[in-house]
Amino acid sequence: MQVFKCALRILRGNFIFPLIYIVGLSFMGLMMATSFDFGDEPGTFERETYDFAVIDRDGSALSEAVREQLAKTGTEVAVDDDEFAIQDAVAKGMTDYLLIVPEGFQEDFLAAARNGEDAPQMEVVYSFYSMEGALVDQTVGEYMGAMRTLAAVSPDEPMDAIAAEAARYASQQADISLIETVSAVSEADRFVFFLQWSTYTLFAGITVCVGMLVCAMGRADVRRRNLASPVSFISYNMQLGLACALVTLGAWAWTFCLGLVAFPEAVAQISATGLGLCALSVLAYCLVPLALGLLLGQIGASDVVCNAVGNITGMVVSFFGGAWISLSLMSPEVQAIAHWLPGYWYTNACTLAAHEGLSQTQSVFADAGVLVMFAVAIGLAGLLIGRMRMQTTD
Amino acid sequence: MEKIVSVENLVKRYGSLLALDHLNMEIERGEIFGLLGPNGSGKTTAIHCILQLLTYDKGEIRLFGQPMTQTSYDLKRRIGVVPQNVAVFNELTVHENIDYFCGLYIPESAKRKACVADAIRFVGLEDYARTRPKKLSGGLLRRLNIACGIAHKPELVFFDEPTVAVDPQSRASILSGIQQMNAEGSTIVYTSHYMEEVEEICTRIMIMDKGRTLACGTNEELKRLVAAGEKIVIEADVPEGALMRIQALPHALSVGYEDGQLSVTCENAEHNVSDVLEELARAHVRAGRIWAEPPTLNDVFLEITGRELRD
Repeated sequence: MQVFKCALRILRGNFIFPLIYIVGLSFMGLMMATSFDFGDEPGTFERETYDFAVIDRDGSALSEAVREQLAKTGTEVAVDDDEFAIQDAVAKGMTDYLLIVPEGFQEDFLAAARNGEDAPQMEVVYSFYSMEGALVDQTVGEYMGAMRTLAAVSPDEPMDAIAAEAARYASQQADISLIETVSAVSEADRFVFFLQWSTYTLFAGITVCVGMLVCAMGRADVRRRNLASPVSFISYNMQLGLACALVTLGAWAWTFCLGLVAFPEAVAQISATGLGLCALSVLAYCLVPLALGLLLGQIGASDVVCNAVGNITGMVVSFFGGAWISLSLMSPEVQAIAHWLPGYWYTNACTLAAHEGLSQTQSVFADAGVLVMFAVAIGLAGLLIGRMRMQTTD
Repeated sequence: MEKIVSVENLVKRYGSLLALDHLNMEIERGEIFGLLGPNGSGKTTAIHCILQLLTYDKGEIRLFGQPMTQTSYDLKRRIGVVPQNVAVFNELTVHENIDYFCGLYIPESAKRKACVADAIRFVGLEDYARTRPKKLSGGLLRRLNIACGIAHKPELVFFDEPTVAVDPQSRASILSGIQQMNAEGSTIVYTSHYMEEVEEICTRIMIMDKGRTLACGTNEELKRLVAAGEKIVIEADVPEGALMRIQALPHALSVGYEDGQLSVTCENAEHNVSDVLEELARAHVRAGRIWAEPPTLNDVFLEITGRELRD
């Protein structure tokens, strides 16, 4: 078992690869799956408050009524009636809303209302960056509109009465109540999402680790030294294969168990058969990067190439598997391409296994079979390349 | 003497290129057999064929009197290989590397432990046992490469240019180590470009070129094969006329005169020095220091393989 032990030591020497790709990225997937939420947290409603200032040049009952109306929902701040003080107050954010009531405004306002003319305007200052200011101006406008209507229909009513009646109208608002919704996302969904995300983790991790291992063991000079030894070719390859299989099984077990530990309720929501089928699907999928890693090793790819191929292929496979954006949101062309990549079959198998369980056993087996076929095809290509390379070296 | 390696009519082709052209080789137990040849002469190919790392088109290879095949694991167990390039794992320490390669030959861990310790001691890497190869100097790496090939105490060891790019101290250490291994009973096959090394340690030498054996014998036997004899060097002011007369001497092959040093290369003959001195005396030339150098293996090699540049 010298070759097997040596392979494990090489893996230990390059522990950074499994640490980043398999452990690190799976935790990232875990975080994404955990945040996969539509806001089912119960909350409370609270009205937004604001600061306002009124520069009252009219000193009338109307201006006082507007001030009182604003004070019901906001906090008044004192601003001097001075051009610079007004600019300063708005620019420095001392107030969200600044209202200037011009001299003689009440008189003009009542006259316009009673004669059916356009109402005079008050000067308003608020920052364009302040949404509160705009909203407050809207409520002031509504309040003034109510007063104008009352003044028009009851021309003999004193201003105090009109203001009180308008305030009564303004105080009427729609009832607000919080309705708690039941989240559409179950733990089982999170678990499946985590497995979907793992298309990238597993693909990149296994491809890089296996590729690196086979490359290190297959370096021309070292390979010659191994071939000159009394260890048979079959024994050598079997031991190396065992080490690669161990890497694959390790990645599979880590990913699947992490999902179960992170989403314990999923275990209750998914049937035992469903979980078993999920595990089988993940294992079948793991065979694809294993085969790709062996192929890279046969080519004699360097660490850098293994990393690049593992990452890029992993991203492509996970994208077409729907890990980033649901496949149902993609165009029919993209969906058609997805059928030619293992990610699609893996996602399909996991979703069916988790949600349908026993009733879809055959479909899950069929999907897993397709994944195995992918692995076999890549593996055979690797063997062919390895044989050709050996003959070329010869 | 027992024949350890026997190669008969070995032919190896790479497409249209004939790498080994009916090569014959016999190595007896206890020899340090030098394999010399220019670049591309087929030395490494021959070794790879013997070790069954390469397939060949024709010929027979026998090791320890038995036919050598890819599955001759019992024979392979008795062989050690020190390849031209350092073939170790960068991820493993010095000790782990030697233990791994030794373990391919000796599965028993107790026995292997002693062998690994011996090998580390043999190459003087005791202080670097826990060091990874990346941190070793070129010379130390070469020594590790050797330790990996000889830890299982093989009866026959192939050294393929083991001293390339090492400092003189490491080279001396490696050569004395090889001689010590030989003294302890190992048969050595040694390839190198360094003639003085081969001359120093090899008991028998084979010169090959273009996949064929050009000459084979002991150092002295090879020197006798070539016309070049001794080279006589004399410090003196030699006039043109005397130079012409020395050139005309019956055994003189070439005459050179530079910086007050006359050098005359002669055929193997008995009175070369006295003949040259006689000519100088006739020209009333007073000789300073005089010395004669016997032909070197380098002279033999160049004469047999030619002086044209190789790839």
